Amino acid sequence: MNEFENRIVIAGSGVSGIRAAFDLAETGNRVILIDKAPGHGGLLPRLDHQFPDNHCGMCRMLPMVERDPGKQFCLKKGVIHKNIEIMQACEITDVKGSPGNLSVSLNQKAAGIDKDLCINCGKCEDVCPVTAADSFNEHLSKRKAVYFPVPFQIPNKKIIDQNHCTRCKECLKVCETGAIDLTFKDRNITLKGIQSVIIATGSRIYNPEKTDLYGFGKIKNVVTSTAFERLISQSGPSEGNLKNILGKEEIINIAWIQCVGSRNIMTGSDYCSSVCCMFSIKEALLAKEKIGKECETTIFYMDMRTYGRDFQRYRERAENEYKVKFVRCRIHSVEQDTETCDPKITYIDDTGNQKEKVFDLVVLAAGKAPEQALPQFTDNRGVFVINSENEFRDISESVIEASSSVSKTGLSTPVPAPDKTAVSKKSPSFLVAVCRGCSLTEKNIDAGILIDRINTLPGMMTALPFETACSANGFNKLIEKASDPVFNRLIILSCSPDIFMVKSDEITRKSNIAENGMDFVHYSLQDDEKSLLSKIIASQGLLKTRNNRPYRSRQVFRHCMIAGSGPSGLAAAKTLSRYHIPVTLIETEEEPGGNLKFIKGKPEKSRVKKLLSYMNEKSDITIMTQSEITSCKGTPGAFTLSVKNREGFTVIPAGAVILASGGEKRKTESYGCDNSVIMTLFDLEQVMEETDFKNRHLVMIQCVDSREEPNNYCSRICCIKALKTAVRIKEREPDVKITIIYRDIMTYGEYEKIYTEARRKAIRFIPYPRERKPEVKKRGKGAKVSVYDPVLQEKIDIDADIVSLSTGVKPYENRGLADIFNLDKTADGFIREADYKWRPTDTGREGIFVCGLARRPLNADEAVKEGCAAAMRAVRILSREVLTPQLVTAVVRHTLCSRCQACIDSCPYHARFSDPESGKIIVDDTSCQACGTCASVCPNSATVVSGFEDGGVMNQIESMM
Amino acid sequence: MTLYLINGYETDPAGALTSFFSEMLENHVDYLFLPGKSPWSQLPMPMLISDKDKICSTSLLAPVMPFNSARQAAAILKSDTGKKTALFLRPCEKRALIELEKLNQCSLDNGLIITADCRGRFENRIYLELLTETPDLAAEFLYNGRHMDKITSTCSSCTQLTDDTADLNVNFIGTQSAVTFSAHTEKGIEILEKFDCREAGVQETRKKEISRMLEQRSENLKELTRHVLSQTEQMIHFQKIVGNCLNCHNCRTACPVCYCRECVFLTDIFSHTPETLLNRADKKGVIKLPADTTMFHMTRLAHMSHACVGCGQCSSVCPSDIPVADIFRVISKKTQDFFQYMPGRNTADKIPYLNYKKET
Repeated sequence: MNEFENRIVIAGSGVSGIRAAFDLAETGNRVILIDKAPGHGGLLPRLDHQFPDNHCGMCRMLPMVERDPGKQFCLKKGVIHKNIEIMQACEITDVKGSPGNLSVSLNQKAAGIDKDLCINCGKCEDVCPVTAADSFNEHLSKRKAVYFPVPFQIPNKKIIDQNHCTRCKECLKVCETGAIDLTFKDRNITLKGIQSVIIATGSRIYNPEKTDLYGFGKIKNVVTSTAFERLISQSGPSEGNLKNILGKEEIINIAWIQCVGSRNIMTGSDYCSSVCCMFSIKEALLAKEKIGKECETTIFYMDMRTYGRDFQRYRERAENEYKVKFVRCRIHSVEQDTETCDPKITYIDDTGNQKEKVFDLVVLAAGKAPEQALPQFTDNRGVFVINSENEFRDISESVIEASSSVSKTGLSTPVPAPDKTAVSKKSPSFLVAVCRGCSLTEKNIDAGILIDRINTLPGMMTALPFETACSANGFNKLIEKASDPVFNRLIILSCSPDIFMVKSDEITRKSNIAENGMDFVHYSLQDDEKSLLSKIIASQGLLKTRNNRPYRSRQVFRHCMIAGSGPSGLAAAKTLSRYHIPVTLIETEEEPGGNLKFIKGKPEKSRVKKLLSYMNEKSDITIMTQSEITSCKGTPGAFTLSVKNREGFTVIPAGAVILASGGEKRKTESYGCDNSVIMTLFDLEQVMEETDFKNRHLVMIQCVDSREEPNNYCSRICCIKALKTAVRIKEREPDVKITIIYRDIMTYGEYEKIYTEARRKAIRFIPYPRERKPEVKKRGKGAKVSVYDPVLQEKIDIDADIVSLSTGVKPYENRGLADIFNLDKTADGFIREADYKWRPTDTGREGIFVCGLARRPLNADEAVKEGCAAAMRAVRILSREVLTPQLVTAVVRHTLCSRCQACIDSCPYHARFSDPESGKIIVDDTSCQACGTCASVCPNSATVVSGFEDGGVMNQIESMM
Repeated sequence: MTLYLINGYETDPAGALTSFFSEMLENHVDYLFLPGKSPWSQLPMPMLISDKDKICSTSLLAPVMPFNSARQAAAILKSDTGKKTALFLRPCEKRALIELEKLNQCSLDNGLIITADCRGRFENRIYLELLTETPDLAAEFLYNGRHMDKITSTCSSCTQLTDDTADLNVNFIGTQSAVTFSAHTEKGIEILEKFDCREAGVQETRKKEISRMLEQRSENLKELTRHVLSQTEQMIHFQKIVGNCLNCHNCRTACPVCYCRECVFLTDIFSHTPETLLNRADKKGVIKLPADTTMFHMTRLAHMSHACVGCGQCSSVCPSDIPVADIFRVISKKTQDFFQYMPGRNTADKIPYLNYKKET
């Protein structure tokens, strides 16, 4: 074990907290991850499905390079990593001292049950007379005062809810192990010598009870979005079944109401909660999937904010393929229908008419609650706050935000080659630990008989009983026995294998058993001696074929190549230099900076200048201008790139590559763009200072050539840019008339304030649907803009002096980086990341990262964050001296291999290639995730997953037959 | 599709094709890969020819196929030799070759694939018997369908009488005793243009004859499907059919798309220890030996049913008369229909299990 130089406390174990914890743990730091709640994960364990594929994918945050220190577990169930310690029901009360020697005071709420003594027999719950609303299920179901805070976490121990507990002591009477303590004494803990504290406490969700508009809390079938997620969840109150719930036999007709607690100055929420539009669409699709064709879904919205790269197409698929109805309106109220008792929505449609409709279920897209002030101690040096702006962010942006914040700490400890232990070459000798001693294990079997039978099995089997091996005491005895050098394999038979599985690392460390030399057999209530014996033989069959394989570590080349020197590329370079990792920036243009050259405003310009001179001064940052990458070979940690410039080709090795190749503004010929009277917004921005707007009429048209095929995506920056420009002009020249013709105003998050400001400044807004575009005709010195006004319900003509067209952005097409690096592109030519939500800056190939406008439309600030996040991903690899393969990876048996390359085609991680000289199939064992796809497409097992070779698996099958 | 006659090579199929291939070898390719009679065998075996005088005219169209030669063809095309070879194949051989190309076992860059209409084949023994009675067996069979009742069971339910994706196809069915050619690829058209050809006006009679045959074949396939399905309804039925298997693995050796360098059934995984066999006998009271015959056939179905080209060789070589090909024919059709996959049609068609669709 290496001594940890850096110990870091992270407060909050939601998406950001977990991402930050892994980033730090993977770069050699020790993390103490605390959470106020008694279970980890924040909101995530309650959500089963996420955009865009409507599956879960949280596990994609798990370490992928050198993943052995972390257990490959569903992250909703457990965050299990050597370098991460979890403390639940804890809150920071104070932070004192200076970075490196911080003293962090914690308050830990008493759980009422000692988790070291509890054996999860469940008797306390059986006798508990109290019922309370289950917050895990958003109060849709009931639980006892003693309960699992999250029903499926491991190791899962019950806690007692002090607020509801009546201290009747029934549980005390039945507890066999004396684990219960009803005095509920909170603990005060002080952690000393802490390097940094990271606050990832996130935002709270708005409680709609505060507004009586929606009938929430009064009408049973008006629920929040989170509650709806629970309703359709397998682990929810009705196991995902939408029948006979909320007093309804059937739920067919569902409505979503957007902007609940958001975009409302009256409730002090002059912001957009950013994520609700997409999650409502997702929920509508899931409702259709769960309920079937007859399900009718309607989303009531003001602007459908599909401002992410692939969001617009997702919406259109929902609308066209799945027939989700989108109604643009303001909700007047939700009341109980007198006849059916169901919620009745009264709304004003876009023509100004009042309408009513009754629904079986109304889902309130509740957004962010108004922000709370951060505690005083966050001002302390050494305390970093993730998302200090307190924005509501989707998973993807939270992941980026977290990595970007972590990168600011600059903390890493060189990770030495791990001390791998594989099973010894000696012939297998088994210790079979049979957990017994509690009422659970002795129900259906006689452990004594079982032990005798195991001991008569062939193949060096020694079975021994251990009293409650799941308790701290029993576990220590087990470890003691397993340390006997006689044994080199361990099988643990228990009612909860998870408990031991997560401790496998500890077992290896303290005993004689290698990581791949142990297996955990589940003893369920249905088992008898015979079935358990079969399970033991199966486990024996698997373990006896495990072999000792050499692990060849590979040197990491401590150098990062960055393609592109725009905002994201420069941010990545700066981050890496914080970690003292040498960087080469490759820029195709003559000057570095990319789109920063278009930045207006003096303070911004001087900031850019400062940044660029920082780059030039830093000795470990090299900038190669008028250069381009032409090829890339190799594996993570050891790529070889060829770079072309005027002097010819240069071969440069790099441990990681970041693609920040950017994009550009889109030109247009639509609406008769003549670059003088009718010009793009980008051009208007450049000339606005010199233009006289007095008594003139400026018309701005949004979504030009955007959000329709072939560029069916929102460019994210245009609405904000247009509104900012409009407001600035209006401030300078109050006698200007400005009309903005738009489809949906995409002022997500705090940008909503600009929209409010614009309306306050009497800027006129006219919406148009895609099918009814405005028309622009040049007339005299200006132009006539004709547009259909939905309020007046007629076409109106506007005499415009200047027309600005918001044309959006696109990625550079001509820099075929995706092809050079063999990466996927989206339909619109952006480089596709490995996973939109969970691995936004990774590409399909480990060691190659992507950020900025090359990946998606974003503004400069977001590009900077994404650059930092991508760099943080690269630091994972570059802060190591060597990369060592995992215990379990795919291996090719070359003598059997027919080289059909089906495995290469099917590998989802680009972890295989054909050696051009020998034709052999080579596995890049640092990228290989041991998913086994290759092994399943290989017809003759020429490729196998080590530790799960056919022999062992066949042995298992044989024993169960 | 336009059919062409090559001036000078219109009739006398064997002679015409011999001249066609001679000219091909002389002017356009380096080698020919054709069925031919060797001094060592009475049956026409695949021959690799560099000397045009070695073309055996009587074997070219012999209605027999001692084995599906796709793997032999692939062996020649395994790596880039820079030498061109024209390969004369039955449609099922060509389909297998295409599958092997997809599996990276060869490259067709140096190959010119020429197929011929196929009414089916006789088993080797029947062919030799018929040959003694009917000297002009090939032409009689090809043009007039003589002895059609004696073709193999697989052939009689085969609906792929001709091929329209090979570089060239030689057409006999319904061509009124004329040898006609059609080209389907750029490569094929380029070659055909080098010959002195003219259009043949026999499309209608050909269409009629083919559709008549297809009708009959489809009927046979339906009957076969009904029969096989009724015999394989449950695992126990299937076990009965393959119960006589002696694990000789002839079927896998004869299978042109079974491409593994070493079959998994020959590896250590299936060489059981005595303990394993005794243990099985203990558990069940009795076991049949050799073991794993059901597993073997099921595995082959799992691995290969998407790629089965229906050549029927597996049945032809079975010493225990297990109707392997009939089972494959029926099960494969289900697999292939499910994936809308036609093995061997085109190199561009992706193998179903590698055809991933990204969820967006």
